[in-house]
Amino acid sequence: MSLAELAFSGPLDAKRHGDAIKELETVLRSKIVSQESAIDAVVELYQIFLVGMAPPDRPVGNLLFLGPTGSGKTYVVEALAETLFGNSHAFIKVNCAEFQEHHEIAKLIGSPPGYIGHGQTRALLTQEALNQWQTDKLKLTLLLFDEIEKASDALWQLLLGILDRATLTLGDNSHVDLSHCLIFMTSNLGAAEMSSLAEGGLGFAGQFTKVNEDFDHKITRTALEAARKKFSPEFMNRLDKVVVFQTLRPEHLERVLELELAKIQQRISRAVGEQNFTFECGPSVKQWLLREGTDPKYGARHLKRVIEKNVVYGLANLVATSQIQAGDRIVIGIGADGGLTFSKMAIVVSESENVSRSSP
Amino acid sequence: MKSILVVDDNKMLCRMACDILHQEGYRAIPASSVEEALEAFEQQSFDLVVTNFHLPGVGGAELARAIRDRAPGFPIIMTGFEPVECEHVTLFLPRQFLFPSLIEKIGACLAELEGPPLARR
Repeated sequence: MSLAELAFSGPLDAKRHGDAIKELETVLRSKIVSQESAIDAVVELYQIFLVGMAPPDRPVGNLLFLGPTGSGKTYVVEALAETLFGNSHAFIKVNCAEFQEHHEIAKLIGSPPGYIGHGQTRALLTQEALNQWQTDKLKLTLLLFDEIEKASDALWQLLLGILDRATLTLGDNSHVDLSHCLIFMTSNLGAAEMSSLAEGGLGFAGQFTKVNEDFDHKITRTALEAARKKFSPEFMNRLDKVVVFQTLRPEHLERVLELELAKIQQRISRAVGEQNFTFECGPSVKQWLLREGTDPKYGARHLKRVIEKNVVYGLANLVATSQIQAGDRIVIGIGADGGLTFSKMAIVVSESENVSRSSP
Repeated sequence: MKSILVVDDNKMLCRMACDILHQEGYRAIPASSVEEALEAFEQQSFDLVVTNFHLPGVGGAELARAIRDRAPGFPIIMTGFEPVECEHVTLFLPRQFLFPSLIEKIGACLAELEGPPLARR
């Protein structure tokens, strides 16, 4: 073919995603509220991995998640695990706060020969542990280092090696290959500054009226500055992407509430199986939960806690006293004292038609 | 991860309680009878048992005694509608107010077992 035979057939779209990626992106967007940058970063790295273009001898990707407490940093990893492997716990979590002392690194890689515990300490990061969630179709491991700012120097050295060469030498001198790992690191760095920003910007806890794009920019700047101050350039250079999670606004928390209530129904169905019962919350109850569960300092975590304490525990206490049976439909309302009430919807059959009524 | 054996013939509660405990970071295993509970207790390692007083057959008090025979002083939380005297349990919780008390008491029992940091050394 000569050059003269080549014809321009139009520009190509470098950002176009394959079907598998589109599906992942759609599912993640349905599960994760507001954190678009995090979803974009994850989807991009997964796309590179799927087409086999991930750099050799390096992890599939190294992502640093910064942001306020309760903004969903760990949840993104859980949602990805649930989407890819059908299990939100299908990832390895290293809680760096548990490795603040130099000697505690043995819990991660096992004790070296000549040290107490050699051959007895079971290393957390073995090849077997890393591969446990992999399938024939998906040779990928999600590895999360939580609260990395709390890691000891020994863990830092280990982490730098992993991020750069995707290898790890255990206490027994065996080598672990981490080139199939997508590595996530989370940090609450700048949390105090973010908290004071939230308090200063909001005036009163619970009001989000001034949480806007400007506020998000300030949070982003604060988090990045804190990260650059704390972390060495050699660490920052090993990262594929730094994502700053945004503070959740009222409309985001409303979506989180809907997702959480749906999840509770799923949890009940999964837990009790054929003895399933259903529950529903009216708009006033949802407003009540949002009011009680809104705390700018703790984000969605506080809302989830309020739902667990008031809805799940309430339902469980009714089950414990045999007031809820299989097939029941429970309606949650607001009582005269301002607290939540639980009523059972009973189906009664009248002479002419089926009528629903509630019985407290 | 601490392991808890939850024994209740109300299967719906048993499974819901396990789910709640799982959310709290525990490994929770359900059992709906004394026999099932003892079999699980002998085959697996647990840190605490939660049992209903009213269980089919010999009942929760007898289950507690059997567990303490195998592991003296083992932490056992018993639930029931009326307070009961049972020398083989750590504490009793009324079922009417099971949650969040159960979570708090499990945390307290397990913390007490571990003791203060100096005692652990």
